[in-house]
Amino acid sequence: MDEAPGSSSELGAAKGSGLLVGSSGGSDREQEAPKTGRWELRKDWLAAHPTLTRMTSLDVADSSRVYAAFLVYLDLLEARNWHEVSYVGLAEFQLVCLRGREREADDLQVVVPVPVHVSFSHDWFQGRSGKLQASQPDVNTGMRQIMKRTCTVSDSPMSIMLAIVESDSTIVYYKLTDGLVTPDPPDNTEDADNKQWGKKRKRLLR
Amino acid sequence: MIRIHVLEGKAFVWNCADVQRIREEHRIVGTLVGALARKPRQNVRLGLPLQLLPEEARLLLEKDVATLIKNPSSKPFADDAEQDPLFLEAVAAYQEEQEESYMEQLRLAAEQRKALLGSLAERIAQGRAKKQQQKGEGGEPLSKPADPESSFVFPRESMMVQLPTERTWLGQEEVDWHLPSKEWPYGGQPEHEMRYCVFQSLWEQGYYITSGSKFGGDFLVYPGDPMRFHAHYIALCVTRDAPLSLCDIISVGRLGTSVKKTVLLCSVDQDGTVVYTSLQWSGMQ
Repeated sequence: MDEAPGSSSELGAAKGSGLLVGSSGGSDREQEAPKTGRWELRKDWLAAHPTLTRMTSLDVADSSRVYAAFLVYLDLLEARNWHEVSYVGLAEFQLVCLRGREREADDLQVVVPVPVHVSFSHDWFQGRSGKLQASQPDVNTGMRQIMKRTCTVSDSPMSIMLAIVESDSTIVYYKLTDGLVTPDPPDNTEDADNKQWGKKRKRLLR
Repeated sequence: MIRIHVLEGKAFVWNCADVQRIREEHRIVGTLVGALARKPRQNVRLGLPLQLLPEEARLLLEKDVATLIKNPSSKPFADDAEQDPLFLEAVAAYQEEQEESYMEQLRLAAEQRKALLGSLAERIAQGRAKKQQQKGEGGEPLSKPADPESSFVFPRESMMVQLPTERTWLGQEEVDWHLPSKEWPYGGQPEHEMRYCVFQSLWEQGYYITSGSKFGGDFLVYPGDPMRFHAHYIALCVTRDAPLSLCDIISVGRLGTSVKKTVLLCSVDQDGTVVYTSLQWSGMQ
């Protein structure tokens, strides 16, 4: 599949304007984090993007997490041509989660966008029933708890896709699946043909 | 009973038959760490002893097929042992055995040399004839070489000596592996208990497990004997509430993908069951 030619430059623009408004993702994230709602004041397309506005108005996560979710949303829709991409706020994890289909016939996948500076624990869950304060970052959110909360279909093992967003807006995707997933057998023909493999790798290593 | 010898927290098996049983009957692999007497200065092939991970040793101990042994802390001999008739007798017997072994090795080496010379006799004769021709016909014929058997010397330093490594001390003490001690400090350590839970759970599912340090994990998990299979998983034991930075997840995930293995995050639940999460880099196109 070809990469959408506009995607990288769009993301580049996203990064540029993101830094211009001094919003999230960058090193000045902390100073600006509490000032949500500044987006509307800006006239540039990114800050005023209706989806970003709506994600922000969910009021479930700080601006860096919302911004990360928005970048992944754009990446899935515009660079990777996913189908039926939707988002939902998970207040208890302070996350904006995405759902979508990689191909039209595929199952819905859960994508969890996170900025790279965040830490998760493997399976920690706070026992108390009350919601966390929005201002109190939950550094220990358990990845398996996110999985349990978001994966409601029971016929396949639970899985989520972590979309880790760097401050330069590059995104890497890691799949987390419950239980033991046997790795793909080595593809000998592909390995033997080094040129092909190199080509493919270049395309994959983004 | 398989005898596992402990030395400063490390577990070793010195008996060859035990090593074989551990692998064939109990699916425990361990690592051979001893240099081979006849192939020093290389580490491609190593020999006894077999070193076991604390978790490997504990599994054998919990199955009650092995005992943990340490050398006694007291000196093996009293100072006046050299006057003890039993001791002198043992020394004499040992020296006699060495002498017998030397004579046997001398005989074998001489035989081997004779056979080698025999097989090369033709080439030696040819070489000699050629040399003589080069020297010219006028030269004196070379003196006949001495009888190969009389000229053969087998120096004592070249003799192979068997070292009785399984029992280097007189008497041995059993170590209680349930309680932490200087020799075996693992009992009750949270880190060890977690690793053991994961190890045991994977082992019970039929996997072969080795140390994962090669790939930066806790264990490597094989679907069959590691001599015949590549590892499928790199297991990382993490406490369920310890924060993991995403950078760490990226690095282990990327490493696993590049060596075609799945990274397994393993944690122990509050009720002692082990939960696994497979981590795979997703090269979405």
